[in-house]
Amino acid sequence: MKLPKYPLAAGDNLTTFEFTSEGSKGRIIKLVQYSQTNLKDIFNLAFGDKDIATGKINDTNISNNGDSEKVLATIVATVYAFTEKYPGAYVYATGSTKGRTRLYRMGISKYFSEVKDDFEIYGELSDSWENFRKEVDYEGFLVKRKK
Amino acid sequence: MNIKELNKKKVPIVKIDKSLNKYDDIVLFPDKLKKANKMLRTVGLPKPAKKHQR
Repeated sequence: MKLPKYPLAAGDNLTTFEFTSEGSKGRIIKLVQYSQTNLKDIFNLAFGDKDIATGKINDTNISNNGDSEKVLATIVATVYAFTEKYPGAYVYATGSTKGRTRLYRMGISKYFSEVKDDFEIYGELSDSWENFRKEVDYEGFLVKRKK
Repeated sequence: MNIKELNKKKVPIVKIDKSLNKYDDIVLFPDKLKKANKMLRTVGLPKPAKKHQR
């Protein structure tokens, strides 16, 4: 990916990543976590802001730090890192609201031409999956690294 | 390798920070995980692509 990204740190298992967003509102620590679902090799991707004072994580906050493209590029980079370590894994992601899910869709659309050769990408629509199409408002997304 | 070259790499360089290991057994986003498990129950996984037949 040619877009700028933030430096990433992760735990040994590469299931939790951390980076610092730097923008108009200052420095915001972001945590990205890949959680094992009830099914083997299927992980849920979620991310949010870490409150430095309380240590609590908020995934509904809209940071408006003016760096959303760089944040998104960094999250896509974590998908590359995670699936490099777990190549057979499916990664599911959905937004906490419809608006956020739409933002994810716009993000995937933006990088689609760069990532489509590396990942199978599906969109969740009316209780089924279809190959991702840029113009469709999906309820969730599923990606798997191509072999 | 300079920053521009680093940014072109698809698989990023990740610094290991052992302090993040504390999250291994903690679900930071339980509502999202709940949604994911519900999706798996109701929708399941995509069907494997059909191979072209002659």
